[in-house]
Amino acid sequence: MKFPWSTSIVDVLKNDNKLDEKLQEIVKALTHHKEDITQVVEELGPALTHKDVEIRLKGMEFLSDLLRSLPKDLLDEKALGFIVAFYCDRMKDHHSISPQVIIGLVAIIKMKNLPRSSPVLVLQQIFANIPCQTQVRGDRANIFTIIQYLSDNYQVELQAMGADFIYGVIQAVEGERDPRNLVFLFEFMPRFINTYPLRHLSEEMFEVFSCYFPIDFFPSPNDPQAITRDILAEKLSVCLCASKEFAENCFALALEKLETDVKVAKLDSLNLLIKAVTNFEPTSVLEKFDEIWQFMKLELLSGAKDKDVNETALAVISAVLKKFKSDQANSEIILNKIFTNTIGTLLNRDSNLYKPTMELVLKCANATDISCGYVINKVLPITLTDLTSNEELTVKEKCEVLEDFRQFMMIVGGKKLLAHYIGDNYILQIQKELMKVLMTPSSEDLTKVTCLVLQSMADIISDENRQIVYKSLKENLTRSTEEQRQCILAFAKVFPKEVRENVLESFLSRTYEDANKAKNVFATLSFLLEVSELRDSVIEVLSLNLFNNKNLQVQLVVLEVLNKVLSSENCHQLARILFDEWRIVIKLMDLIKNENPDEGQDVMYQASLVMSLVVRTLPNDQQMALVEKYLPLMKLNESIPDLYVTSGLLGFLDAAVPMEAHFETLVNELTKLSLHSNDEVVRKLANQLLCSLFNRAPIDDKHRKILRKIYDVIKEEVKKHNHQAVEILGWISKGLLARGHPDAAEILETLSELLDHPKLSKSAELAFEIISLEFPQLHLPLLKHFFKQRIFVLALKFLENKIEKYSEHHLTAMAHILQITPHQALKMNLEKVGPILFKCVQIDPEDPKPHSKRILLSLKIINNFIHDKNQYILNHLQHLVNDLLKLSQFKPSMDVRIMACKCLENITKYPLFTLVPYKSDVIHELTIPLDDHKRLVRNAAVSARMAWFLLGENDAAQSSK
Amino acid sequence: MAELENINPSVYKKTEERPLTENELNEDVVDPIDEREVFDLIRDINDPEHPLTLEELHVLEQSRVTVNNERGEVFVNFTPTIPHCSMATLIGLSIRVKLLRALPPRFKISVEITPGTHSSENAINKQLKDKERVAASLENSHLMQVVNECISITKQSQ
Repeated sequence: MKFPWSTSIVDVLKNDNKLDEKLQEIVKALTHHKEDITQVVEELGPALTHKDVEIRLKGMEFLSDLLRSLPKDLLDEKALGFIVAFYCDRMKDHHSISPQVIIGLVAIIKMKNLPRSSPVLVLQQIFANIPCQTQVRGDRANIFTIIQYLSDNYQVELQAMGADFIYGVIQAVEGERDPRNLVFLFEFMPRFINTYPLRHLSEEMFEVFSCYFPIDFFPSPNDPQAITRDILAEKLSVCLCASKEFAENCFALALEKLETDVKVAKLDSLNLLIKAVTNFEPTSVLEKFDEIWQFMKLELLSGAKDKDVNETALAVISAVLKKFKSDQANSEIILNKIFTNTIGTLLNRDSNLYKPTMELVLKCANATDISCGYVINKVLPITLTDLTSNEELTVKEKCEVLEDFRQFMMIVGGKKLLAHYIGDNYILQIQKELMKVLMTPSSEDLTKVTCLVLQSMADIISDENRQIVYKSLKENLTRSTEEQRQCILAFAKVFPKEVRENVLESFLSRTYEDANKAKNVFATLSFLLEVSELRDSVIEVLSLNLFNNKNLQVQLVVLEVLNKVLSSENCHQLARILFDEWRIVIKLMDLIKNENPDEGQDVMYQASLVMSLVVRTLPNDQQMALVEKYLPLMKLNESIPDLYVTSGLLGFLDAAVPMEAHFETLVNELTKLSLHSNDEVVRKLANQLLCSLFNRAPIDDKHRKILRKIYDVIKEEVKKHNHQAVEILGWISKGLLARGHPDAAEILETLSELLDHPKLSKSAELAFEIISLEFPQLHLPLLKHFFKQRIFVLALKFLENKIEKYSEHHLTAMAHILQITPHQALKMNLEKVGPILFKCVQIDPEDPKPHSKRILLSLKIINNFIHDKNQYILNHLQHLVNDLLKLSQFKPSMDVRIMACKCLENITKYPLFTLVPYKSDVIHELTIPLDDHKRLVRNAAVSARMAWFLLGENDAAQSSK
Repeated sequence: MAELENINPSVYKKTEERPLTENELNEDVVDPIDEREVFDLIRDINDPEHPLTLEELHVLEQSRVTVNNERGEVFVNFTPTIPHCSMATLIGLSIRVKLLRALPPRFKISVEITPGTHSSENAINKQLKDKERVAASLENSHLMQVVNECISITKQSQ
């Protein structure tokens, strides 16, 4: 037996700083069975029994560390018994040693061969000798770990301990304050409570937890474990409902705490109630229901209350009903209690409580099948007798009744159990009432609501009533409203065959001459594209009127309808069907080519849009095949229709489809077209295509060379003062800027310089507008992050130096750029941007031109900054307020006047002392826009003036309170 | 306030927002000030007792507002919820103050109780008509606080 020290163990513990290494050596010896643990303890003996507490502590620390480092299965039962006995004995020692004893025990109890009798001994000794709640947090956590581990693994032994064990645990746990320990306990205790019978101690156990309720806890801001109040509250509520024996106390606690005014506490109590209702025996819930209902009534039916509280209280009722979801008799007892006294309010629609009561009714109907049946049979008839018997009901009131009924139907519809109750005569009465509305339409609103109701109950309308519905829908099809279209859709989903025969038949398979009629019919039919049984017939009639009808107006209507449908989110399937089965792309190409270029321009434009929308949904290889097949055939300079076809093919082409082969020819021809064509639509199409093509072109030498060539051509044209050339520059730079192309800056600089040009300055201004606007039909496949910031930075760089001699064109161009720049970017550069903005909103009385657009754009940006309570703006209030007051009387544009008033209103959010100097001036000056000839300006002026009047008044009122 | 005088008043629906017409967006068309516009100015004033607006309590109704734009006259009748309401003067004053601030100065504003709906109708009408008294009450800072609250809370609830 050789220990790694030469002198006595006491000296080693006192002086050696390489204890760790020695510990490892012993661990190694023990694992290889070269040594025996009892010998180690004996060797440590002098230290463990030393008269100095310090030494004893060090000895224990050494031993506990040693035990923690050992493998869990190393020690046999006998050795463990010996050690446990030793450790239990140590608990009686000086209190400063007990933390080390606990640490050692945590390791020991997890060992594999622990004698079955040890747990009881350990716990008994801990309960007897170590008052848990006087230990520091870490030690308490260790004790809880011991309790948790043993109670999970030695149930039989510990159950034999009986009430002593429960009592010991209660004592150890009671009064715990640390949130980390509490989270541990709240997680473990429900398991404990379920495993060990609490006997006479159940109330004590409940008290241990109830004292935390409702949780009031503010986590410290830099807590690494991030325990929140809500986590604690959620876990605590599980503990409070852990045992059936807690029922009585738990309900009492939840109801008692409901009386609070603190919102979180109230919500906690309600959530606890929900949990209690779900967990405890139905009998105890039933016993307590009277009390629960009294409280819920207070929360739900006493005027305006908090929304969250209201919802949670409704959830409590719902939980109670769900508890009895298969118990007809008791459900009815509960529902009777709820509705006996409240049902009266449903008779008076004007009453304060009508709406909350209706909410309660709907919630109850939604809870279970039984409660739904109850509401159908007992509650709803009362509210709806008005509809069937009261002749004096106004249209508005009727609408309200029907709206309530619709909400109810939505709930019932979701439950699929109406068949069970449908025999009810009174649903038939409702139907009769609805049919009356349809047959003798009196008010638009009423018809609207009726359609909505029908929509919610399409599947249960009786056969003969359905015929009436169909008749009405058919009659109104040529002038149908959104609601009626939805209604047709709802019926078509359930009875596609009937709808086709009774409603649609006469509208299908025919060509239309009247565009207005066709517009409404097609708009309705397009709704039915969703229904697979009707889809083919609808497409057929659309295609008939597009391709076999020579009426341009009707063709246009069809194309517009298709456009709308194909622009929606989930048109993918439809687009595939149109492409595969109806070959729509090929047909549209023929249509465009055969159209008369003078008259049919709108049709060609719309057709190319539809084409591009269909192409967009195709997979890349199909897109490529189309381009390869048709693009080479296009002769852009000879035929205008070819431009439309090209636009249709390339409009929304995926960025991954390669275009290298055609790029140069295409770009050259488009540029020529755009430079020399007099037709504005043609130019627009060509420009947009150029923009899109340059946006998607890869950045390599070949393509940059092409760009350079085009750029030189355009520059030549600029020298000839060609306005169209400047416009093209705007478009090309837009495409390049969006993808962050290295050559974009140069073009932008050229445009900035053109702002000074004597003849082209106006066009340059427009080019800046083109760069800033967003076009829904323009496809820019490649967008670089923060490209808007980049445009702003570039424009600022080129224009900043000239601020002193800014012309109108500079200001307007800058306003366009500022408009698209993200707020944050502007904020960072406010020192530079501010002066420009202020200059933009100044009006020169000499200037004949109004510049309304520029002023409006700048005002909007300034308003955003005012909204942020920006300091820079605050420093310039003196002249800004004056300018705004002038703009509030700005003759040429009402939008400017309104915006100026809004800015003035928002300025009142700045601190009072900064505004007082302006108050009387503003109030006085604003009387003029109060008498503006436009109502919207007057409204804005009223809000602004009221805000200035109330400036400081509310603060004064609050401080005096 | 210790007790509410009218504990459970009937609450009525608010009227819809005024729909925007094309004319209103057209710069060249003149929109005259009409009954609806004046009603919109005052319908959101809060009742001093309840967290409800005067419109919801039917204290104010559009049909009881008359406007003559050319001659610059506005006449408003309001109906207290109960005949002995002690808040009637305060409500009348709030309506008056709001209109004074929100209408162009060319208008002459009269605010009166709907005939036959209040026990001391004449006395209150006289108070509200008396320019000196209204001006004096506007100087009373405590009273103005209450009035401002009635007028201003609506802004937050919007």
